[in-house]
Amino acid sequence: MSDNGLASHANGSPGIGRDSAAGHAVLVVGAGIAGMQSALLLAEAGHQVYLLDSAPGIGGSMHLLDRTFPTDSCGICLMLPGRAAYCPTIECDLHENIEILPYSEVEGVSGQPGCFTVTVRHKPRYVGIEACTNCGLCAQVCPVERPHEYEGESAKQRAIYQPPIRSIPSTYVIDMDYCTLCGECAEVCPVAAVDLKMAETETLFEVGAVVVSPGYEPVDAGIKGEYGFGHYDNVLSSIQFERMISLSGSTGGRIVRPSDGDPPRRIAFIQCVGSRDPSIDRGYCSSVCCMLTAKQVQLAKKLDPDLDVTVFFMDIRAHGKDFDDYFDRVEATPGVSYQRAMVSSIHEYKQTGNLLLNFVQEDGSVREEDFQMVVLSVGFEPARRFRALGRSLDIELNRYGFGQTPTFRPGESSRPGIFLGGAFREPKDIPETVVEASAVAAAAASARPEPWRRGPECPSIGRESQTGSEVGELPEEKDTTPACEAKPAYEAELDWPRVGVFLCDCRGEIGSVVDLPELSRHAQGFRDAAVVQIMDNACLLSGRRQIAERVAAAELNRIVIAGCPAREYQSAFDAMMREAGLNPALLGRVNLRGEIAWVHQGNGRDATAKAKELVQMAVADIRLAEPVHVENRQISRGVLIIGGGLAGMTAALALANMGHDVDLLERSNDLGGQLRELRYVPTGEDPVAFATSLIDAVESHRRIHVYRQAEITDVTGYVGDYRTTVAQTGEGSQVLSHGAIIVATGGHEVMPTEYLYGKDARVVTQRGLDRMLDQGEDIASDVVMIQCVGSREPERPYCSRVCCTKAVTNALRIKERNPGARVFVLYREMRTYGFREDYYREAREQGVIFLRYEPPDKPSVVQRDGELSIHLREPITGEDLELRADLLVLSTGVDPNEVDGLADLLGLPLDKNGFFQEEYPKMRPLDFTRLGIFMCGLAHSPRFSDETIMQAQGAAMRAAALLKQRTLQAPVPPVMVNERVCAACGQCVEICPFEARVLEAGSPTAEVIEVLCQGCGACIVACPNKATRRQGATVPSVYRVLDAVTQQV
Amino acid sequence: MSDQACEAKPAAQLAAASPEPRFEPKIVAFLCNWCTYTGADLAGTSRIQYPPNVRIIRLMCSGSVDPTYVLKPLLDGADGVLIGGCHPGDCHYQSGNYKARRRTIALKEILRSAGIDETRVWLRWISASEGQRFADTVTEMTEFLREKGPNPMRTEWAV
Ligand code: FES
Repeated sequence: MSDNGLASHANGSPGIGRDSAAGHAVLVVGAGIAGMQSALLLAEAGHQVYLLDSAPGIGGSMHLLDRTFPTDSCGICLMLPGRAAYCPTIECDLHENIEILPYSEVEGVSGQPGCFTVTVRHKPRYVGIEACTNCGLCAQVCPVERPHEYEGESAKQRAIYQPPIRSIPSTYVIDMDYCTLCGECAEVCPVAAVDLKMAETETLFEVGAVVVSPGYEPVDAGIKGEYGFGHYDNVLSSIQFERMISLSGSTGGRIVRPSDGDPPRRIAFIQCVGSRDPSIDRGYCSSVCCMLTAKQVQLAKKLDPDLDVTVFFMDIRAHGKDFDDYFDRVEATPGVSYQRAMVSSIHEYKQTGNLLLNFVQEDGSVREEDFQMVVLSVGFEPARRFRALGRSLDIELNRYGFGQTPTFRPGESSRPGIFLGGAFREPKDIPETVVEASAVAAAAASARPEPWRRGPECPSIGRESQTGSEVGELPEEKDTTPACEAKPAYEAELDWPRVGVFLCDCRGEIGSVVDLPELSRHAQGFRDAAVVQIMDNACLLSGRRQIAERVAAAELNRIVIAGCPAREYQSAFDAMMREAGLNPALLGRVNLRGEIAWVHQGNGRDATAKAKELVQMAVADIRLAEPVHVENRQISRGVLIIGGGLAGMTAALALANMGHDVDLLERSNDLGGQLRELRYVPTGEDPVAFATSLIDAVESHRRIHVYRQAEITDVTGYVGDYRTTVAQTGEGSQVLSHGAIIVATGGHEVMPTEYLYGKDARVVTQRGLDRMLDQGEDIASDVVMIQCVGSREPERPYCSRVCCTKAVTNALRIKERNPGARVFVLYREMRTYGFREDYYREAREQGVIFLRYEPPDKPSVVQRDGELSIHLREPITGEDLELRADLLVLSTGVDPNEVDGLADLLGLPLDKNGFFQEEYPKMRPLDFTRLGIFMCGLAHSPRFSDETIMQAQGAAMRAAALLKQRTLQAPVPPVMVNERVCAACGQCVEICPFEARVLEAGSPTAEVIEVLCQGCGACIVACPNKATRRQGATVPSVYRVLDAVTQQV
Repeated sequence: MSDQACEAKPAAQLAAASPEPRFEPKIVAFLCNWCTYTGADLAGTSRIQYPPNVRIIRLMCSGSVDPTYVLKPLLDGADGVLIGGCHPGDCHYQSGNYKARRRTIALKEILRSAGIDETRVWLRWISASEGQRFADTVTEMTEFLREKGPNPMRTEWAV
């Protein structure tokens, strides 16, 4: 976003989607993890994006999390497409195609897909964003308090408060619900930023599509009165506990009891507070709390190893990829115990603040235990205001207030052109959120007006339709990017360095601590400083112009700006350099504000001394800098998709609709894969009709070429230029070239070897049962289902995610057909997450009997007198049960298809279960380290068809955003090789994590594949001859910088 | 730093100067761009105060800290070197911080055998959200080095 973006809508000027050739503008409602991901991908793909949030700044719940399961690390900054980058909040702020609309609400949407008009109301924050310097004086004088937004109920902040520091903007804001209009803040504000009369404004935006991903909120822990939240000091919500164990939280990562500040010895966690609880109208499972608790237990044990933790739970829902592994580790930690029990009440001991828990165990017995602290693991729900949002968007919500979407078009709301992403559709964890956010971006990118409604009211789109492109497709674009940034004829940097040093006061932020005139006098003494100048605001357009003018007047060939950190205004300053005729690599930045002014307040003498050194270091660095001319590589716009099942076809269609040519490889003779087996979905849609229409759409799309009976025999190249040799049975082989590859090789139902399967016709799999139900066969009256057959076992340790729901919905179908049937489900844990919990509850209400078993005592099946008899040991009572069955249904897991050879050819890792291993489970669940390759569907992990569709569209969007660039450039100045000193030893090749360093056999020097180089510098260190260096930086520059430090000691 | 340069300080800032000159160690900090530098910057945005003894050099990754970058300032008289990287598992280049760890261990070994006090070199994992931790680390290291006294190399080379 440009620095004047925030100002432009404040005066009410309507924002119109610019650059219509690059696709329509998109409004993204909600700027949390999902919204930011959608916005960034759309922006990368060339769309103008308006990113709206009702909060004072963007970032959403990200500010709450600094450690996430299953990696226990932050890494939210890794979610950005295609490169390692900063925090997405910052990236959204900086992206030129994204305009942030903080503290705003959608009032209404009119029009149709392709040309909506959205009315947006900007709430007054009563503090001018431009003027406010976040000095905080106002909050010091404000007499009223409000509950703290992020630290939970117990903490307070003033009515004039600063949003979380990492949200953007993080400028102060007044909460008028609490403000008494006393005016103290306005009085004390040194820059007159407070305006208590600020009025709200309205803006109209014209957009082609709307993405809605406002996220969800924790359920109020007080909703379960019997737990005493809000009355007992030592009963915390999991959100409060999250902040407590967070290193950036209120206690700085110490676990203490709110009542007396003492560390507790025994903590209880209570699961499902406000989840799976129809009595409070929250019948669904919130999906993430089991793992959130596991993570909190893990971190708490790290912070305090002596802690004793008991978790009270119903089922452990660890259905995500690798979650069971993580959970098992946590459960096995000494001092951690998991108790399957329902806590019925909590009482507080007045003197000690300790808590007495009453709970009912699985066998019905009641027990009590004392704890020093209790954490209520709260569920998640849509915020109440979403109902109003639903109304203003005119979209349907489900009975719980979540957005309603159909199974086979999972990102679409009830209103065409409006798409739902993230947890607003159903509670979900971060990886799924990231995936879905990418998916809805794809859907929004290809939103078109319905053809029959194209009319004069949609002028730009009407015109496009006459260019001959098909309905639902992007117009062809002209490629205008030059292959390489042209080298200027005159290279200023070859002259003796003439450095311009600009010392920015940053509106008084810096000058109030650092003695700028003194600093300036000092800098004038540097040999190469041709100009030293103090400025008010180097970042503003006026400031940048001033610098550019000085470059011309004083013939400067290098610049140092001392003020804000380098990541701020980077693109603006780069543009300034280019305008001034200088290569952007010749600009050095000193972070006087963040490294000095804000952290050494009241220490002017030392601060100024340090500033002198920092500026000197920067000059020492920049005087040796060289221009960087990064090579632009043309990339192929085509995409190769491996696998013609639901995932592959969905991805192909999404890409083709975004204007990409797709080659779709299918190993067998038919498209469809597992989708062809799908006969029933509980939501009532017809999977067969869906499959037929999908296959049809893929086969008839002119941009999709299907290769049947195709195998890959070789893959070479890299992102933007992959060459794949494809052999087709009976057709010989050919080499195809693509910019990106999507792996969608799928999986299949496991064929059981146990429980008499294959030996007795009455033993079938769930899929076999599907077939019977589908063909209307009579279902016998005694049915037993066994869950986790071959899943969560040593040979297949993962949870297959879909089998519980499959069993429950099939049980319901049996009951529907034959209400007298007796159905038993023998299970280890029912993992009917999200809204699937409703089916589980319904099944119990319909009389389906669920019996739990524990792994050492697995059920056994024998034929006795021609009858199927199932033996089971009840885990609680130890009693042996015997069930008779006319039909035994085995819920078997999902196996990935065999892809070892393919993984080798592609150079991609498989996990220990044979699924493809993504680069980073949390934030980059669709990516591999090898750039330009993405994955989706069962090749990644077991999942439902709606989840597969989302993942496939997400992968398609990632590829589209990548290929949109037409040319690829190294993300940071890549390294280069001094051929005269390179000895071709190959150490760089060995150490490079990105395969960006190559040494061809017989070549005298190692080379750099610039588009793959991420600039980490590992090879620079490894090179024994110092033949490798970063472009733009000469080898001795760090040493000279160090000289500038140590010459002062 | 030349002393005359500091003479011209505004009167308002005099209060900060302590009456007795204590030893002020000088720390060179190599911070990775993605985590620790961002954490240091967060300390700034959160106005967390720490001693002004540190000179930050921002590198892309802790894995690009050349051992000579650590050696040189120590030989030239700097009192301590701090290397800051992402927590294990969080490096944006996958394994840069592991490389840094291996190198630091080896380097400390060498320093010890060369008679240079290896406790002057610190390696710390500080994430982008740990502004406080960055400030605490600098404070702690400053105290530690103040206790330890100046790097003998300062005087030895000066002879
Ligand atoms: S990027 Fe931080 S250590 Fe590698």
